[in-house]
Formats: sequence, C-alpha cells, structure tokens
Amino acid sequence: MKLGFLCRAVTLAAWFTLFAAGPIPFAQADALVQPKEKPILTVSGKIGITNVDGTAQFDRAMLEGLGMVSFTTTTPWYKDPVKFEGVPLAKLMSAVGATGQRIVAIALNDYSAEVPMEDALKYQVLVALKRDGEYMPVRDKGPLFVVYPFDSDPELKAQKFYSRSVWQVSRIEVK
Amino acid sequence: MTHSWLKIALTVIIAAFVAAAIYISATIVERQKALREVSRYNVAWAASQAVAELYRLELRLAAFQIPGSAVDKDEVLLRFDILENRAKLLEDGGVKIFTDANPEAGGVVADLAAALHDLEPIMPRIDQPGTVPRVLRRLSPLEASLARFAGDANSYGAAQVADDQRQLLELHWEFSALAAGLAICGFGLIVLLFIQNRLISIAHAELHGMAEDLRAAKDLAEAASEAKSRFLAAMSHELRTPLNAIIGFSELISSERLGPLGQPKYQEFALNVLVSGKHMAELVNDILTAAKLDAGQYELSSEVIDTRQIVGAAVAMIGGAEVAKDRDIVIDPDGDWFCVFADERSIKQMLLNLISNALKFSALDTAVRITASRTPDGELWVTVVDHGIGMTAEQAASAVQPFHQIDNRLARRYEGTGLGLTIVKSMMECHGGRLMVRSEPGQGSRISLVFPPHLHRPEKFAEVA
Repeated sequence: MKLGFLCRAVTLAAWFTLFAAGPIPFAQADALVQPKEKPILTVSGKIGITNVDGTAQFDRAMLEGLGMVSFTTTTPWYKDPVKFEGVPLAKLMSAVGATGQRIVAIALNDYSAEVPMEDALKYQVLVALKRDGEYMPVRDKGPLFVVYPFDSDPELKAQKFYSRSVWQVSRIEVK
Repeated sequence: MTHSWLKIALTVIIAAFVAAAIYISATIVERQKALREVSRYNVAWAASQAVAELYRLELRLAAFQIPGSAVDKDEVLLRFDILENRAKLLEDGGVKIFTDANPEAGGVVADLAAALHDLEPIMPRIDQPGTVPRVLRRLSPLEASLARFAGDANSYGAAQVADDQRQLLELHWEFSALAAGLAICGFGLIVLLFIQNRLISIAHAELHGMAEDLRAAKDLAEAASEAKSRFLAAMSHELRTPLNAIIGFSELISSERLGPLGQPKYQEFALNVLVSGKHMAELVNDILTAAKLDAGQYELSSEVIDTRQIVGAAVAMIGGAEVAKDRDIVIDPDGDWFCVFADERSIKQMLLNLISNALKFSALDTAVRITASRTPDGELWVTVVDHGIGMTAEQAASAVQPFHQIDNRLARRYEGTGLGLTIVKSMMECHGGRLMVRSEPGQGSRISLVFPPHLHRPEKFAEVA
C-alpha cells in the first residue's frame, strides 16, 4: 500500500519535472539499503542517494523492489517480438536522486551509449532484467538491457534509438 | 488531330516515367533502410568483439594467477560468459552467410565453439592449481586464427558496404535519368499546349472578324430595308394628294355640278376617271399600310371589341360594293363571338380584306361564311370560309408574302395590289395574334384571324356590358 502510493508520487513528480527547464531533479526517495548479494548494477555520477563508496549499487532483489513493469516489442536483435520486464529507467533515476541531463549506459565490454534524461520519461525506457519471463544471463545479453518500447511509437523505429539501447549493461553514469 | 495523338503519347510516356520514378525511389529508400540495418555490419563487429573478449579473458586469467590481484574468480567467470556470448553471435544469421561462403572462417568459429565447450566444465574449478595454465593453453592457439577471421570479416563487411553503395549510386543514376526524361516530357507538353493555344487564338480572331463583317452587312441590309419603307410611305403619301384632286374633280365633272357636259360620252369618261382614281387611292392606301407595318410605324389602339358586331359592320360595308352584288354572306349565329382587345379600324380592315378576297375568288352561286370558335387551348379563331378556287400549300405560303398574287392571270381577273393577305398577316402579328390559312385547290379556303388567350375575354359582349 505504502509502496503503491510512493510509486504514484514518484511518477507524478517525474512527469512534473519533465516540463521544468534545466537539469531534471528527481524527487528524493528513501535511502538505499546495502546490497545483500553481488551487485549487478552500479550507478554513479550526479546522484543524490548512494550506498557504497559514493555510488548506488543494486543487486537483483533491490532492482526488482523498485517495481517491475513490462512491454512486448519487436527489436533489431531478435526475429520475433519479445517481452521485456524490468525497472523503468525513470524510476531508477528517482531512486538514486539523479540530477543530470544525460545517462550513460555502459556495457560489460565497456561499450557505452548516451540516453537523454527526457527519453526516460517520454518513452518509458526500461532497464530490463527478464526477457520472455527469464532472467537474461551474461551469455544472452544480460544481466541488464536498456531498451526502448520500439513498437509504441513509430518515431522510435530509427537507428538513433536502436543505438541508445544497450545490452549487457552493468554500469550507469549520470551526467 | 496530330496534336491530340501527340498529347496522348506524351501523357502515357510521362505516366510511365512517373511510375518508374516512384518504383526507383521506393527501391532507394529500401536500400537505404537495408544499409542502416545493424545486421549488415554484424560480421565485422561480431568478429572484432570475439577477438577482444578472447584477449580480455586471457588477461583476466593471467592476472588471476598473480597473488593479491584485484581480479577474482567471479570476474574471470563473467569474462568467460561474455566470450561465450560473443561466440554465439558468430553463429548468428548475419555472420553465418559469411562463414558459409568462407569454409576456413567457418572452421575458426567451430574451433572457438569446441574450445569453449571443452572449458565449460573446467571453469568453475578455475581457482584450483594448474587449471589456469590449462585453460590458457587451450585458448592461445585461437588467437591467431580468430584475428585472421576478424580481418577477413572486416574485408567482407567493407565489400558489402561498397556493394551497397555501388547499387545505391546506380539507383541514383537511374533516378536522375528518369527525372530528366520527365522534365523533357513536361517541357514537350507545355510547348504543345502553347502551340494549341496560339492556334485557338488565331481561329478566335478570325471568327471575331467574320462576326464583325456579318454585323456590318446586317446593319447595311436593315438600313436599306428601312430606307425602302420610308420611300414607299413618303411616295404613297405624295401620290394621295394629286389623287384626291383627280377623284374630286372627276366627281364634279361627272355629276355635272356646274352645268351639263353636252356630250354624254364625256360624262362616261369622267366616271371612268373617278372609278379608276378611287381604285388607285385604295391601292395607294394598301401600299402605305404595308409600308408602315413593315417599318414598324403602324399605330394600334387597344379597345374592347364585340367580334359579332364588328363582323356585322364589315359585312354591311361590303354589301354595298360591286363585288358583293347578289352574293350570300352568312354569319354563324352559334359562333363563339367573344370580345377581343384590339384596334377596331384594323380589325375592320382585315375583315373587309378577307371577305372581299373570299367573294373575289369564289363562284357567284356559293356563299361565304364567317364563323367564330374557341379552341381547347383558349385561342379564338374568327374564320372566313369560301368554296372558291382555293390554293395549294405552297401558294398559301407565298400568298402572305408582299406584292404577291398566286397567278398572274388572276391579277388580271381579280385586280389588286397583292398586298391584302400580307397586310392582314402583319396586322394580326402587330396585335400579338397570327393569321391561319387553310386551303385546298378547288375546295376553297378557310382563313382565320387567331387571337391568343390574352387578347380576348371568354364573355360575350353583352356579358361585359
């Protein structure tokens, strides 16, 4: 009950800040707990909430605790439409109290791509943990996949947005 | 004719060009899309990724061996997983086309997969002594072949891109040629339309000139006709003055007003002069009336006239004349004798004309009948019927033309100007009515004054009064 209310408040605040000029300050959420398992995601940069050495580190349970959503979309990487399940990027940004304008998603092979902060709000960009109901292992584009709901808007079916999607993501830097 | 064929041909060519242009541009868009697709570059990318991740794994393994190193077992296993992932990518659709075409490259992919398959059960025990060198020994032979594979894949990818670009360039050329053709066709069409426009405007100018000429000729003809009418009217008027003198003085002489003539023959001559003068006066009057009617100067008054009464008056007037001597003139007692709105003098003149014609052109022992009847569509017909010599249809038609008598022999037998029916016709038309002539040779004639509904009242005169 309390979590539901919090989610609504956070989403409302996020939408409100979309229309504000300058850096987008996310509403401050509760302080982060320490990860109990091996972290799968490290968020650094312009963030207000940290838990390990000035960074915000998440294990799988912590990410899932932020609230999972899902969508099904076609992608350039799979023949058939696939269902992605994970944490909305906007929700993650609010959980770490992000204040930057850009998000850099960094993959295990150090490939990185920049995602503008407004994309997170405008398109429901997902930090996906599951594909078609299964956790994605490193061997299959895991552990995390920053992905856009390409089918929701014809504008998204462009190379610009394909290149902003990153798989095997393990780090996010807020700039 | 030639122009329209040329135009059709040009339109067809342009349509074909447009269709081809649409097809070509759609193809170009398709090709560009294909170029943008990531899969086109997957080969080179996947190969380089595999090489890089192989080296990374080897580096991590080497570091893992060194005591106190930051690289732990999890890190090594993660790198192994990543390399597994890259090896799987090499078996993907995009890369498979390349490996199928290059058996040597296919062998490298198979070697990598086999090595990873062999190492899979060993990796969880990587922290046990001797395992790292064993893994490195299995991996190191792959370095050279994988690097060569990456080089070949890169060339293959570059060739693919070059091929795409060449195709795109060709399409652009085709498109440009089509666009040029389209422009030429459009220009041809414009020139054709311009020529056609010129021809039309020339024809228009010619037509306009012709219309001007015709109008001038018509004006001239009208002026001539008017001059003729004026001349006739003036001449008739001028003729009447001396005629009056002839009639007056011959009357004085024949009546021996100022004393006896002595010689009885002189009185007979004077009477001849008087009769001829009166006849000539009638002729002049007819000519004057016809000329006035022709010139549109005939003046009409409009009054309510009882047709029965005016027919009676006309019959009474003609009764005293030579032509009506010993003749029967019957007025139909059951006729529709309605009132009409007309000029009394004209109606009387018309009736006199028709009755005297009927008497002149029929045998002495036949009667002349005058009837009045109303048609179902509301017209009033006042008809003079005789059983005389009659006329053919052609004769009836020419009888209403000015200065015309059916037969020159008749002119001698029945003297007259030949203006009678013309005057009646013109007068009726002046009233807004018409003259109806029905006649058959040898059977007689039925000549009617036709009053349209607006010229008469359905009441008889007694009812109006």
